[in-house]
Amino acid sequence: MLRYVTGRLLSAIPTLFLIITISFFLIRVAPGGPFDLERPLEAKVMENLNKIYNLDKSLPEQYLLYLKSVLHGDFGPSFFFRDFSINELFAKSLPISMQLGLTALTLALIVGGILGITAALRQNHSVDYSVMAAATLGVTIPNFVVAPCLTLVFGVWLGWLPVGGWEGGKFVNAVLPVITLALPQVAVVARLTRGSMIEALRSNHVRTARAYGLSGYTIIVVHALRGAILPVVSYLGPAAAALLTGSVVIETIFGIPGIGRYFVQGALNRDYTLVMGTVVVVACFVIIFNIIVDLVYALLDPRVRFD
Amino acid sequence: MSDTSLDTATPAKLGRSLWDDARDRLLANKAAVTSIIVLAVIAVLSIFGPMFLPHQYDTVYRDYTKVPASLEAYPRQDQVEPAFNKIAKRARLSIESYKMREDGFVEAQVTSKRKIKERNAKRHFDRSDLFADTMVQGLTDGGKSATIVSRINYMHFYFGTDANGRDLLSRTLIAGRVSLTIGLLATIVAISIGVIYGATSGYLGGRVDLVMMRVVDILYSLPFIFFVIMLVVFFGRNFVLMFIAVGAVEWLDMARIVRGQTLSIKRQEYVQAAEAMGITDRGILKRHIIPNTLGPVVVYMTLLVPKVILLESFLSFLGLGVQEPMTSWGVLISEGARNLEGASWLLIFPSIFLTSTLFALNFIGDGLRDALDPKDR
Amino acid sequence: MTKLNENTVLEISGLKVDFATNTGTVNAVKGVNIHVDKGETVAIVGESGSGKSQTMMAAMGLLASNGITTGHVRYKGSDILGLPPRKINKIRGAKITMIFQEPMTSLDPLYTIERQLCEPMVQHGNYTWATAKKRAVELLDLVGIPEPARKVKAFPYEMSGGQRQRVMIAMALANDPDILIADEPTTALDVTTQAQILELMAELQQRLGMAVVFITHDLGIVERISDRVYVMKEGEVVEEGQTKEIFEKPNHSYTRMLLDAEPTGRKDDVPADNPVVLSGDKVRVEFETEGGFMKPNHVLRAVNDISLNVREGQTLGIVGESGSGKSTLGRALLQLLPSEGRVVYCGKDISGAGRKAMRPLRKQMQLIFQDPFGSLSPRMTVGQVITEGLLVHEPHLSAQQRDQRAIEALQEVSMDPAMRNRYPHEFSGGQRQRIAIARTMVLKPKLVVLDEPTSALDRTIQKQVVELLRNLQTEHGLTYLFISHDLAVVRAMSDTVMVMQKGEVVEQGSVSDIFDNPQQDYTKELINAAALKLEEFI
Repeated sequence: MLRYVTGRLLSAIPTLFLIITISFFLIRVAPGGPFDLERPLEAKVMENLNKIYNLDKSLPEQYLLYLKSVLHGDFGPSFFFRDFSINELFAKSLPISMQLGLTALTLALIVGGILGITAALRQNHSVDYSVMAAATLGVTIPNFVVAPCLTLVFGVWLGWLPVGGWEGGKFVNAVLPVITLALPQVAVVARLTRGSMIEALRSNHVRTARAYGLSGYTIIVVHALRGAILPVVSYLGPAAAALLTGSVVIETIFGIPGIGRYFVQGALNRDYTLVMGTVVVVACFVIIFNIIVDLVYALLDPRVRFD
Repeated sequence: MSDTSLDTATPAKLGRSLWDDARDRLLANKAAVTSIIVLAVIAVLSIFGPMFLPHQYDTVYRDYTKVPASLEAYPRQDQVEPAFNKIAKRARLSIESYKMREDGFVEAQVTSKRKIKERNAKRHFDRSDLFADTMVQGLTDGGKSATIVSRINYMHFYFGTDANGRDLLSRTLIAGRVSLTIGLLATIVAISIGVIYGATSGYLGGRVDLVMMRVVDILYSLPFIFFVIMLVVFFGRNFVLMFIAVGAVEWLDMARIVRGQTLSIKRQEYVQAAEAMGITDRGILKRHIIPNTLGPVVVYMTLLVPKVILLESFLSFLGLGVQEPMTSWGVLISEGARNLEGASWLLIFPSIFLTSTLFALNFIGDGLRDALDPKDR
Repeated sequence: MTKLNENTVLEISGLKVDFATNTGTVNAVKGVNIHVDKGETVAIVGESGSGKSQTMMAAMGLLASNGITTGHVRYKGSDILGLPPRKINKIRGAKITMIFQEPMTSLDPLYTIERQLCEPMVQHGNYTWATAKKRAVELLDLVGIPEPARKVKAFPYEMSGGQRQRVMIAMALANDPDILIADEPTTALDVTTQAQILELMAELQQRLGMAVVFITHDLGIVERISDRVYVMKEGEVVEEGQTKEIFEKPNHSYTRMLLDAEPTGRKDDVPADNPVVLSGDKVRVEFETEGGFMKPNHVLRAVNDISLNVREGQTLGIVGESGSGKSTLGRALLQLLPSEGRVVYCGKDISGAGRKAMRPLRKQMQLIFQDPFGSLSPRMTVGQVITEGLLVHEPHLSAQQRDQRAIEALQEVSMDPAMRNRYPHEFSGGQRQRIAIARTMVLKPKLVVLDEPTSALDRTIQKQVVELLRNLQTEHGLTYLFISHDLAVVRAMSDTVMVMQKGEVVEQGSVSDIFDNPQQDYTKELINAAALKLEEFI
C-alpha cells in the first residue's frame, strides 16, 4: 500500500508541474502588473521594486526561480501584502478554511447519509418525496443566494446570530458559514446515498440475504450500505478538496479570514505569487483527496487491488 | 395475412416511437410540466417584459433611491408636500398657499424676491422625478408672484429601486435576458465542442481515442474555475469572452458522455448488423449513432444550462461578470447582499428569479432523463 | 388433485400476485395451488412470463415492493404468508432455503465466502461463529469445491459461475432445511457445468432427504430429476401430476405443445457436387487485450487455424460453449473482424478485403444475431429497419418500391405487413427475430451466418423460427452457417457439424456421425449434458 501511495504521489508530479506552468505563464502574459497603481510610481521606485521581486529578469528565468523556490516549499513574498510572505498568509488562513470545511464535510456526510438511507428505505413514500424535494432545493440554490438570505433572516430580522465576522472562530460566528457550506453537500450526499441504496436493496445479493432470514440491520448496513457508500466516497474526494480550501463567496459574505478569498484578491491585484500559491495548494488538496478516495475504496471493496 | 395482393396503399398501423413514449412520460411528470411553464413565463417576461415596462433598466430616478417594493404608486401622499417645498426652496420661491388637487395636480401660490422666470421654475420642478408638466400661471406683482400648477408624476416600482434609484423590476428582467442568453450560448459552445470531440474520439477508437481521452483527463485535473477567473480578470469583462470561457470549461463532461455513448452504441448489435449489411459510415452515423446519442445529449444540455447560469452568476457576484449598467442576476444578488440591512428586496427578487430558473431547468432535466431512459423498460 | 397428507411440508393455495405498475395492475399469478411433500422433488415448469418464479418468490415474501400477494402459504400447517419479517425469518434460510438463477450476482461481492456461509448459520442460532466456520469448510467439501479450506477465504469474484452456484447450494444446505427451492439454478451456466450442478443436487437430495422445488423452463431437466410436475402458463397451473404420466400422456394442449417444442426432424441432404460457397483455410483470429497506456498488450487467440468448406444449400452447424470462439469465427469469415488465413467466397479470395471491397458482396453474405432486442435499431420503424440495406445495395429503388419490398419480406416471415410502421420495442422476442430475418431476406442473400438465432427465445418460439429458417433455405437455396450452443437445434438444422472448444475444432463430420457416433470425449460430454432423446432420431 505504501508503494501504491508513493506511486500515486509520483505520478501526480507531472500534473502539478503542468498546472504550475500553465498558471505561471497565463498570469504573466496578462496585461497589467502588480505595481500599476492609480498613481504611477516614480521610475526609480519602480525599478527598485522590480529588482526586489525579480521582475527585471527574463520570464524563463523568473519561472525557473519560482519552480526552485516552490520545490523548497517557499511560495515567495506577496506582491500586494508587502510585509508578508505567501507562506505566512497561508499559515494563518488555511487552518481557518480547513476547520470550516471539515465541519461542513462531517455534517454533510452524517446528515446527508441518514437522509439518503431514510429516503431509500421509504421509497415513494412522503418521507422520500420530501427529502428529495429538499435535496433538489439544496443542490439548486447557489451559496451566494443562501448565504445572504440566511444572514438576512437570522442576522438582520431575528438577530440571533452575528451578520458576519470571525472573531477567532467563535461558535456563533461559525454557525451560518458552516451551514451554508454544508447545505449543497448534504443535498448531494443524500441524493447519491438514496440512489445507490435503492439499487443495492434491489440487488440479487440482498435478495439472497433476505431469503436467508438475516436481520434487517445486517441486510441494510452490512450488505446494502457498504456497497452503496462507494459512489458517495468517490464524490466526496473532490468535494472535500474544494471545501477544505475555502470558498470565496462564503468567506467574502461572512468576512472570514480564510484562504478562499485570496485567489480572486490576488488575481485582481496581480499578486502573482499569491495566485500561484493558491493554485498549487488547491491542486495538492485535489491530488491528496483523490488518493484518499482510492484508499477508502480499496478498504470497502475487496475487488480493488493496488496493482 | 392471407391477402397476398397487398399493395403499398395498405393502411399501415402507425407505431409509437421511443420519442412519442418519452414525450408522454414527460407530460405525465407534473414537476417537469410545471417547470416548463415556469421557465417559459420567466423567459417570455425577460425577453418581452422590458419593452412594455415604463422604466428603462438604466434610467436613474434620483428621488427614488432604495424605495421598497410596493404595489402602490410613488410618490406617497405624504411625500409630495415636503418634496415640493424642497424644490421651491431650491428655486428660491416661498410658498404662500399649497393645495393638492383631486385630479392629481399640485397647485401653489408662490412669491419670490426676484422676478419669477417661467422657464427656470419649470426646469426646477420638472427635473424632479415627482413632478411633470409644470405650468406657471397668473404672474402678478411684477412677476414676483405666481401660481404654479404641477402634475404629480405617479410611478410604480413593483420590485422597488436600487441604490442608484433604478427600477429593480426592469433590471431583473434585463438581467434575466443576459443570464439566459449566456446560459444558452455557453451551453451551445460547450455542447458543440463536447459532441464533436467525444464522437470523434469514440467513433475512431483505438490509439486516437486513448490520446484524446488522456487530454481530457489532464484537463479535468486542472483547477478550471481558476483559469476562468484568471481569463476574465486579465482579459477584461466581456460578454463574448464570458461565454467562451464558461463553454470552454464545461465541454469536458459532454465529451466524456458522448464518447461513452458512441462506444456503447458502436458495440450494439444493430450497428454491427448495419456494418454486416455494408452500410456506409455516414449511414451508420446518421441513422444509428446520432439518433441514439441524442437523448443523453438533450438531457445533459438541459442540466448544463443551469450550471452555466450559476457559473455566470458566480462570476458576476464576484464582480467579474457583466459590467454596469448592464446587469445579470449574479450582479443584482451581489448588490442585494451588500444592502441586506434596510433594502432586503434587492436580494429577494433577483434571488427568486434565479432560483426558480435553476429549479425549473433542473426539474426539466431530471424529467427528460426519466422520460428518455426509463429504468422499468 | 393429489390428496394432502401429514407428509405435506409446504402448501400454497389460492396464491395471487399482482404488480402495481405505471400502466396499471399486472396479474402475474392468478390463484395457484401447489403442495410439496417431504423429500420429494417437485418441478414447476413454464416459459418466460408464466409466473413460475414469482409464485415461489411471493410465497417466501421476496417480491419487489410493488408486488401484492394474497392467498395462503402453509409451512407444516401454519400460514407464513404476510408474517412480519421477524417471524418469517425463523423459517427463511433455516427451514426453507433458496438458490437463484444468477450465480454471478447472488453473492455479496464485498465479503468472503466464509462470512456469507456463516451468517445464516449464526443468525438461526444453530452455530456460533467458530463452529459455523468449521461447518462452512465441510459444506464446501460437500458441494465438491476443491481445497475447501483455502477457497472458503475467497471472494465471489475469484470463482467461476459454476463454483458460485455450488457455494449457493452449500449455503442452502447449511441449516438442514426441509425444502430447497431452486429457481432456474442452471440456466445461466454452460451445458457441461449445468449437468454437473444437476448431478450434485440430485445426489445431495438422496443423501440429505430434503424436498426440492425446481423451477425451470427446461423439460429435459424436469424429466430427469422430478417426481411430480406443475405446468404453468400465464400465471396459472394448467396441468399437474406425476412426471412420468405427464410426459407419457399430457392432457392439456399447452403441455403437449411444450413437450413437442423440441426441434425435430433433420434437414434434407443436398447434392454433394453443389459448388462450394464459402471455404476457409487456416483462419486465425487474435485479440490484443489492452494492457493500458504504454503497457504491453496481451494476445489472446480466439480462433486457431480453422479450415472449413460449405456447399450451396448446405448448413454447417458450429457448436461450442461460451468462449469457444464460434461467434468470432463467423464474423471473421464475413470479414467483419481482422483475421489471418484464406477465405474464399464463390471462388473469390476475400481474405483481408476492406470495407469498400466487401460492400458489393455484403448483399449476398448476411449475418443474423442472437439478441432480438439488441439487433434492431430502437429509433427506426420496422419498415426502415428492413429496407436499410436496400439504400446501399439497390439505391435506384423509389421509396414506394422499398415499401413494397418491406411488405413482401414481412409476408415471407409470416408477419402482418401492416406492422411495418411500428417500432421494434412493440414486438415480442420471436417477432423481432422474424423482423431480423426479414431484413436479411429483403437483400436476397446467398450465404447467411446465423449466430445463435434461437438462443434467446422460448422453446415453442424456437421451434417456429427453426422451421421458418429451414423453409426459407429450401425455397431460396440458401447456404447457412449455423452457430449455436444448443445441440437439439443444431441437429435439426445442419448437414455437417463442427464442435469447437477454446478456439480449436474438436470434432467435425456429418450430423449423423457427430450425434450418433461421437468420437471425442468432449463431444460425448456435450451430448450427454444436453440429454438429447435418442429415440427421436429414428
